Amino acid sequence: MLDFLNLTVRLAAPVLLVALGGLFSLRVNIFNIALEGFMLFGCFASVVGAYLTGSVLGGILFAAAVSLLMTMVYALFVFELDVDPVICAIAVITIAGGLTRYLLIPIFHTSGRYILPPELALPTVNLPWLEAIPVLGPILNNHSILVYLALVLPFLLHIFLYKTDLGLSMRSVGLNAEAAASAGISVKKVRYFALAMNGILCGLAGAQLALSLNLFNVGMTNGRGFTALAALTLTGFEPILTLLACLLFGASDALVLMLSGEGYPVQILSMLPYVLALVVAIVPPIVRRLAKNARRRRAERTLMAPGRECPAQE
Amino acid sequence: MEPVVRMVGITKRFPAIVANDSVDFTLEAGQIHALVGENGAGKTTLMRVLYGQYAPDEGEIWVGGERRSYNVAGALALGIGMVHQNFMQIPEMSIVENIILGHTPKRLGFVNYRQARQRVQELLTRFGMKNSPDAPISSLCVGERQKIEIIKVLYLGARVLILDEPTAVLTPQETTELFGILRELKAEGTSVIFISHKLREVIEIADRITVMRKGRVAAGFDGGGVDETAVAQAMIGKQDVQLLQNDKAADIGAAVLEAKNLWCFDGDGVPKLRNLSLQVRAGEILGVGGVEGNGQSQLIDILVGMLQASGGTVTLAGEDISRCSIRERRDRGLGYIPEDRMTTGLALEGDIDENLICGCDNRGPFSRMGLLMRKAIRENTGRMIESFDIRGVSAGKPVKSLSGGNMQKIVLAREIARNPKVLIAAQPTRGLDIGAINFVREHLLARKRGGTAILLVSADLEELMSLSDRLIILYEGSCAGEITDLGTVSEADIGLLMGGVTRRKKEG
Amino acid sequence: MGAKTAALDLRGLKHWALGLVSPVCAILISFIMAGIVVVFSGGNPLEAYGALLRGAFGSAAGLRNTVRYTLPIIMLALSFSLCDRCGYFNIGQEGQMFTAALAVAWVPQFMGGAPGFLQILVMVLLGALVGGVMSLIPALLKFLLGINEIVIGVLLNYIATLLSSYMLLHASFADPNSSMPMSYLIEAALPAAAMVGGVVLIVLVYGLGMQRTVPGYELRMIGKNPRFSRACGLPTVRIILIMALIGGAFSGLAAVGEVAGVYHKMYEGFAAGMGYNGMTAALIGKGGSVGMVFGSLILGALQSGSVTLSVETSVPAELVQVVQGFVMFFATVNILRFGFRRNRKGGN
Repeated sequence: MLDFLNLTVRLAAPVLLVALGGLFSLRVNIFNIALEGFMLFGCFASVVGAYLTGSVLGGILFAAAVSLLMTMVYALFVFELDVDPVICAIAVITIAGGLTRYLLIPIFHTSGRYILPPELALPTVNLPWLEAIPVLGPILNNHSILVYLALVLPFLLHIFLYKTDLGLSMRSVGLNAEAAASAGISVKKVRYFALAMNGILCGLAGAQLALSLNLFNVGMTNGRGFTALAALTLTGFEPILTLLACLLFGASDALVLMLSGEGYPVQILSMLPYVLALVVAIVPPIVRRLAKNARRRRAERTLMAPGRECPAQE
Repeated sequence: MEPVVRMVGITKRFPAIVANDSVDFTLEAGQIHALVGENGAGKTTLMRVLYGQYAPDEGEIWVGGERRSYNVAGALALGIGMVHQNFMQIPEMSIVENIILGHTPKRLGFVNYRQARQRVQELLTRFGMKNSPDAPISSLCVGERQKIEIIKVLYLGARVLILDEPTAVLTPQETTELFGILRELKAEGTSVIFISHKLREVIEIADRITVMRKGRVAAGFDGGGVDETAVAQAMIGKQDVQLLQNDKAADIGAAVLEAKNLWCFDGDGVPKLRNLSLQVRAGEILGVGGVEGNGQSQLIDILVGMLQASGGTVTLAGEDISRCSIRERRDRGLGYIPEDRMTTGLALEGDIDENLICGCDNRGPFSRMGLLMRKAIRENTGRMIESFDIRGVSAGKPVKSLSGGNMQKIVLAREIARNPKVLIAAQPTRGLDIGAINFVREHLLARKRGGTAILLVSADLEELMSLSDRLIILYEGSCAGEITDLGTVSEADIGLLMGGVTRRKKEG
Repeated sequence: MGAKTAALDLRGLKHWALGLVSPVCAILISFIMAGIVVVFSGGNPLEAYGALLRGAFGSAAGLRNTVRYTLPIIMLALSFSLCDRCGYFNIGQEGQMFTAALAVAWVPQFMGGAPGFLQILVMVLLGALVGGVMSLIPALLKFLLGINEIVIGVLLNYIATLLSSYMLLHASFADPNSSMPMSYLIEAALPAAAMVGGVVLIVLVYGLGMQRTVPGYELRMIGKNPRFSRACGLPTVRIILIMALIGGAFSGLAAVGEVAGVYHKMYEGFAAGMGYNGMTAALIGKGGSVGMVFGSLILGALQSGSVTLSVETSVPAELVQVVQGFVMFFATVNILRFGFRRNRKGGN
């Protein structure tokens, strides 16, 4: 069980990092569907970076840099050239898929998948003092530095959003850009900043995904960007709630990994995260709708009762 | 003494028009300066230039004796603040957050909420508001939100306060309260620029009146005892343009449109219409007034069929249409001039042919067996252009390039040419110039004489008083009062009804 | 009168020509960008494009292949643009294709004895129906509950792909003797002529119907302003849902053609990545039928030429996907408008 929870935390980390990246975009009212593409760039760049520099850190930094560059190109197209953000995002995903698949061949002389030497895998950190804590220790110990970053970030982000000036500006831009502009906030700068953070976090997510397995696989993000979007719509872009939602997805990934070893059909098991994301995206709006209808019906019953001709107007 | 603000030769061009054409404008310290003019005269543009939102193409701005050029942040730093017509507020955020937005007091890199809250609390108290600084803006009513806008500007230490049509959404009583605040500010030395087109108010409050017309300064008056007609003529630019009035003489027939016991709730279960009943008779214009947001749009949507009522019935010529689709209602003789012609009244990307036949496209003469009859459609367009004097259209071109008046003529042509039994007109003259307003009024009155029952919803009290045969005022979704004899009531009486202060028993 | 119409025609021609500038520029820029990628990876772009061109148009077989790849893209482009006009972003085309293909593969199982044409007929109807229903799910969720259709569509794509992988291993139509997951051979084959004829017919009906019929008019108006259309009494919701259904049916038909007309069996991942082709072609054509066919032809030629590319040069065939991504990227920029953008700024 503790193994399972440990695995859950590890598998949740990439989704969480992408989701937090997406949170930046959604908070400034950019529905960034291209998360998937930026993360894939991050995966590929981390492997290339690690390979070229011979160090894991090089891989991580390269991933963040490339993903940042790509989000800035995307931002340029969306903000400066008035391009439809949705189509542009899908173009980014297509290019990410095509370019990583193509470049694999000239760079690594292989097709479809490249495995790094094991010494370039993301190292895990073993903290003896953490290990000593019962239950929590074995779950939280032995993770990579990026996993720890992912676990701490939601809390930092919460403070950033609600306690700092830039956080206030970001929230206001997302809720009403016109009002923000009229208060003297440079909406464009805030948006560029948010997308830059989005890019860096997507890059880190890709690095965690690829380097923890020390390999790159074509299309290895497998819809995690979209899963993250589903999680975000569930949590209403609240960082700490997003942490919880992503742990749920981590658990479903962990379940797939554990059960597929025991002879259950892999394809059906693999559907689990997607089905979960579907449920997460569909159920809350239905519940909200039902709650609304219930409230309305209750109001109708109490106010429209016969005999009350002109209520609540004293 | 050096004026606070001096704008010299300001010119601002937009692709289609010259919004300001070498305008000079001077504001003295402690002055309430009214800027009046028709819609599109360039008042708001001039003030946005002053507020740093638009850079002028030509001209100079002198603030406090120095020539300046700046953006919004720069204007705020110079002590120039603007309250926009549509509030620049974020309803989901708290009062304090809205006020400190963009100018937060900081401590160690974090927002110093304690200090901000304290200062905001002081300002709230000063304006007689009992709300907590942490209450969300969405919990305030319109008058309170306006005060917050003013506080927002004062929080920044503004010495020049620009108010863009501040009274448009207020009841007469709230307006009086606002004027009290403005006089107080003036006494403290703050200068106020007050944009309006309501002359009576302007004359009441202003020390100086500048009249704009077609992007230029048309005239200037010193406040106190100015003749209203002189200002009006400067505004309009012709000698004797009079708005058309309802002569209230025509025959009024039997009830055609009848709504009984309408109820409507929003998603939170808050009632938007409470047991509202009304009837409109043939040849009658029933005015529906009230402060915006008191159920007018829900009433219209229910009558037209865009919204399903929670309870109650709607009948048209004796037939219950409560369950009918929009198309069925229109086929039975319902016409609808929507409040917003840009989003609901027209397809801006469509051409005039497409806009004129929408809703009638599925029957003769415009189509046969599912095929569009292009010749008939084109002939119809020709007829409409002629009889409604629509100008500036070219075949196959989107209607979005037309002027507001010509757009509204297309809407009128589509809705009136079908000779409806009932016409629902929501804010039919909003944003139009006087010529176009009279054009719309003329057609509404002609339909009335032709026996159409007309429901006129308007936020403009003057319009309601001069066009309606009968008037009802909505307050919080129910009828606060009905006025059958419009000659006997004053605007102040109606204002009390609008504010929910008094109610009138329905007569009869 | 005669002169007047001539002048009008000339203006129309100019308008049409200007409309071509953007997509053609987008395609050129994309090839240049992809060329740069090729140079950096040590290849020769001119050689690569030469090979692509020869492969796509240089021989009868190549031409036939180009047409074969173009047909499904046309169907997908029609599907996308039909849905797009209603404000429904149909990104679920792959999922629609996979599920429709499953239905097609299943048909011989329950009517194996029936005459071939009957089987084909059922495959076409069933494929269209299944595709349509799959497309209706996100559309319903969007218009009834306001849920973003792109997230739902993509998730459904993943689920449908996994489902078909599973079915191709375990369902009654799965061929247990093959080395990779695939269905049994489908004996009743859809003839090529019927496919070409069918697509031409659908394009004509689409093009004329959009301009000349009442449903086409109403769809255009909904595309321009749904709120206005509704206020004028058009049955907006019904039309949108019907269009989502038809759009999905078109994707389903594309799958029917692939499975019953080209491969004569369904195999794992046969439609992977195809959904973005239709979208790209529709973007190039900006919703017009001629432009869409043109865009589909370019993408079809890229695919058909990619075989020659990998055989004759050292440039990998994966380049095609890069070009396609760039086309999509640049097709979204309205280059003409960008030129005039400076004058557009400001205004209330």
